[in-house]
Amino acid sequence: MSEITCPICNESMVTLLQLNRHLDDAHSEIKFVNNEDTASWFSKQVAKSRAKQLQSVTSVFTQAFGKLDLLDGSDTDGSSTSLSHGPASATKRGSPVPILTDENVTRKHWQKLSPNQRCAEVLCEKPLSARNGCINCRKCGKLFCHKHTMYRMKLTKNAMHDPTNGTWCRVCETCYKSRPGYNDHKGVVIDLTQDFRRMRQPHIDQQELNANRLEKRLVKLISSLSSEISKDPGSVWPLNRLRQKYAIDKEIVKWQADGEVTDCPECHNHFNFTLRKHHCRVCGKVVCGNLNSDCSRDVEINILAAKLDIKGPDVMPVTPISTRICKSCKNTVLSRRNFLHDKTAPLPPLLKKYEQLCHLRMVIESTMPKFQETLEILQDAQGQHTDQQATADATKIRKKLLNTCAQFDSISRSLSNLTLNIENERRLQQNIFLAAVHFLQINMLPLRALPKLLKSAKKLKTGPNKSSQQEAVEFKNFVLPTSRLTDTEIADLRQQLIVMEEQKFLVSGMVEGATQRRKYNEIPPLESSLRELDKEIDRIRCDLGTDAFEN
Amino acid sequence: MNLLQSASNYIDRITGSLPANGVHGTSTVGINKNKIKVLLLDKDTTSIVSMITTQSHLLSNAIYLIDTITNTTRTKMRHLSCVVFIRPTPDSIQALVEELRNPLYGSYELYFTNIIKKSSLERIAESDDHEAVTKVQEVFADYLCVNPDLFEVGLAKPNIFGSMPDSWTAEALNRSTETLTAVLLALKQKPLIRYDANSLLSKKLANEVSYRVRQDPSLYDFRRPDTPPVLLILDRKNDPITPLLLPWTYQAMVHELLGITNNRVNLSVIPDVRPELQEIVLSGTQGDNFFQKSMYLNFGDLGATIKEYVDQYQTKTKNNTNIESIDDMKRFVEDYPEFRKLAGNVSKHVTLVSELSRLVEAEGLLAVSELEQSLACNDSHNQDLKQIQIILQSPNISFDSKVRLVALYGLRYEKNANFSLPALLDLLDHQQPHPYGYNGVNAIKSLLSYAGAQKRDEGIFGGEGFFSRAQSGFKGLKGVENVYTQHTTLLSKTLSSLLRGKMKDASYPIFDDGVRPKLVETPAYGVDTNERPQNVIVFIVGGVTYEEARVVAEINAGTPGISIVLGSTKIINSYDFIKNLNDISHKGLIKGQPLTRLTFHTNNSSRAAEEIK
Repeated sequence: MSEITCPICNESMVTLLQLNRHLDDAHSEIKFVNNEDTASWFSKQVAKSRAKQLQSVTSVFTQAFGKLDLLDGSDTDGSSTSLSHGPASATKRGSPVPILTDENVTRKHWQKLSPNQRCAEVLCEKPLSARNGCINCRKCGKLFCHKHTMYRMKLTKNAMHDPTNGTWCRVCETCYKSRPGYNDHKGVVIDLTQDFRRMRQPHIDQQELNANRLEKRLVKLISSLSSEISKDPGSVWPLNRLRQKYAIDKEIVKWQADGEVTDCPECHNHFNFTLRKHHCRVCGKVVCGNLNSDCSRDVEINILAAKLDIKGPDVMPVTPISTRICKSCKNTVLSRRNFLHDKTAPLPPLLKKYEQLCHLRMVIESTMPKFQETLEILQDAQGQHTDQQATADATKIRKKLLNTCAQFDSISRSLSNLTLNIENERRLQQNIFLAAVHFLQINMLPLRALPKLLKSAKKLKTGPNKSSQQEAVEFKNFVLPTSRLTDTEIADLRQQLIVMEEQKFLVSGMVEGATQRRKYNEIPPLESSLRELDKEIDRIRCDLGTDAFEN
Repeated sequence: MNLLQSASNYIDRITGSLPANGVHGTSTVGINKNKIKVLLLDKDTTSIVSMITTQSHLLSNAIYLIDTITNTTRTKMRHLSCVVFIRPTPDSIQALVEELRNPLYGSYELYFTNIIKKSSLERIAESDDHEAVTKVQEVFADYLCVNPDLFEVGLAKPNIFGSMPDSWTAEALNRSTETLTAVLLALKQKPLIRYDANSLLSKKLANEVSYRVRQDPSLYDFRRPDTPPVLLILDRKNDPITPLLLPWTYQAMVHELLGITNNRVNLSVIPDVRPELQEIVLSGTQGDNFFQKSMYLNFGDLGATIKEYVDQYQTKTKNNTNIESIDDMKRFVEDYPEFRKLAGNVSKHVTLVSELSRLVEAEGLLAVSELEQSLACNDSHNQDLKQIQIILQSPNISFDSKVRLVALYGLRYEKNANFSLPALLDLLDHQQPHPYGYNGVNAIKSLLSYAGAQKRDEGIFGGEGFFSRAQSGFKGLKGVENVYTQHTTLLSKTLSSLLRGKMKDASYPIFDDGVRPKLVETPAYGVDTNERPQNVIVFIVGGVTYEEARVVAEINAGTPGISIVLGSTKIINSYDFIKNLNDISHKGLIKGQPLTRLTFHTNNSSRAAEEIK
């Protein structure tokens, strides 16, 4: 949906008329001066035509509602559809509020009828007559035909919108639709983020406290173990040393008594002869050592040290030393670290390629408006003396865009050629490629519009364009100098080549499609054009020689 | 009021294409836009999203992966951010809790389609050990948006009846209430609730909705409208006729003859259908301009329109076939994507329309429809009976049509002195075989006890009262415009009386919530039943037809300043309607008096009657 916004205050508008009026109302210093004479003349006129108008209004309403009930047409009651209906019914019920009717609403601002008056609705502009109707909008006062004043809203004496104390009045479409809230399509949204954070915080704090405590123990454990090793790296924990290790372990945390536990707290299996009790060296609780359920595990201390970013044992013993850590301790201490680590890890190739794509896309998106602008200048100058600078600019920008597009294309292709093992990543890859192709399709089209313009412009050009040659040096990355052809020529030819190859690709795709759908009659013309394209491509390649693209 | 715009606004908010109001600079929006997002949905939100947006729209907002939250085979990709859009049902919450315990993605934005319980939110907060959640919002897109003015609840099970046909199942009532309140919040309306006086179902729903609105007055505190919007809750049983009549407009016909579920039409039943057309998308909200223009056209006009469409396509093809030079080639390639889209759309609609006309031809639907309309609109018992008997014996009329006719007869002439439904039921029972696994006789019996003359308001048939008889006499003189579309739905009469401020308080009372000030005190805001409403939300309990959707669309288009939105528990066709009635009869829910008036001749039907008793 295209939206009109006020150039001064950026308020969004529905129609041109509304904008017009908004400009008059909000951004004009001139006060509306009322002419006494015209007003009195006007009120007389109104008085005269009033009876007639009301009648016609009624008939229109009956007509409109007649449409929606074909069977029930006989009992349409004219009087109940009259405009002053709302307040009238209120009186019947003995309301204490002073009664306002349509007549009480000011008419000072009404536009007076002039000959050849047309409906003020911008798109309508019907001549106002008895047949089309000639009605003042009670709010803005402008004159409209029947069709564009079929709306009702509540107005106060000063013809201002007021849902509480107003009376029902007939208004125009624009006033009705520009009433506050009419165009509000943003439904209710409740933001619970703050509440959520508040609920989460105590939990997180607790978690962190816990993690810190366990981490400290673990660090202590590792350091005392490693200092123990450094004393005597050669031995393989002889029996007395093993006892020493236990002593170190028990120093860190008080071990839970074996008798207290009958089931493993993690997997809830009953301890028995095969399912032995073990102690987690970090929390001291009893867990099982079943490797399938992964309730606890012997982990080498230098692995743990690496995970915690601390110094492990300097000297490695002959047999690696490990220490037992249970699942819940591992989670509390490590999963947060792992999470942050994964988030900041270097991007996988797929995402790297995607970032390149995004960068190129931003470049294309930001240069595109510039290109459109220069194109418009060129179009305006068509036929007259063409500004050489403008042409050069356009060529330059276009070249840049085409190069970026080519790069974009090649990256998206290489992205789609990556081999991935995980199904989800493959889907991701497919979708990114799809979006990239779509993006290219949309943005390449306007680029093709230029050559025609340029051709006509070139006829007017005299002499070689030095400046564009200089500019071309900037794109050294893409354009290599050769003896035979100038830089600009090469670039042009390359662009042609890109276009042709793309077309060839599309056409061969279409041939395949036609074969699949068994539409053999479509194939011969397609193939002939394919041959023609091949010829053209060969010719260009020939011209370019060594400068042709690698792909 | 526009359901579609509100819903797509929500979707834009979720996908992040809607910049936050002034909080972030443009640069951050640009960066966020490019960050790859994963969209996690649940069963309900999948259909909500699919009704209003397309994959390419999601792709353009960098949503490159869409998955269900209950899918456990997803792999860890912590470089990506994730958008979760779910209904706050216990299952989905559980899945979310598990997801957050071991987050597969780097960060999470949570969106719920409805109000989430505080305890559930706490559970989620406690499971978020990694502080991965960055945003939690409630958006109220909790409805299936079929057309801009038509919504559906999207119940998992079609049956809404509890232990009695005038009571709800807890699930259906809860879901309907949630949908209705979501619609009210999405459209920002705090309505006056009116309901069918003779229906317990609608009164119960009115009560629930009103209760929810009262529970959270600050939430429903909107800009005061000129006249309070009306939420009109109706019951299907007061108009059992419309679902039984064969509709003749495009969208309605496709639903009646082929069936539309979540905007998808299954065409694999058509002989020799091309593989890409086996399941097509027929959406009144996205993309398909031709359908949006023609969905309310009647079958005759549709033929002409589709011919035009095909001609337009052919001229394009002709332009494309004589490709002689490279220039032609270029032009062709430029136009090609657009052209292929057109080609796909043309073949889709041509297939659909030709299938429709084949069905009309093969099943003798013109004759059936003529008789249906005569049953619904005229009072000529003997003639109608004779016609039905003829049709019941003709072999090429489908079983469905026969059941429909007998059902219509039963409803129409229930009070007639020569009422001979038993004989017709007997004839129907001899039909071989019952193709869709339902018993027509049972269905009709439960129809009569569900929506028989005693159960519904009078006045759905033309020619019941003295005056309307006189009126139909006049109509006879004038001649009828179109024999197949004579019947006017009850909804259009109800709406016209509501819009004219002439709705009877006795038949459609205002739900008294005990809060709203009485009329006498503040007339401008108080309950003035005669004030003409400008915004109306109609909800029909027990199903709505596309024919009624057309009526609403017509009123919206034809009466400026009035906006009506129509909704229901389900969008039904005659098959759904009858099947559902048959299911009620199986459950033994309906024990109706009309059955005692019937006499049974065959073993079959007496056994059926015993079952019912």
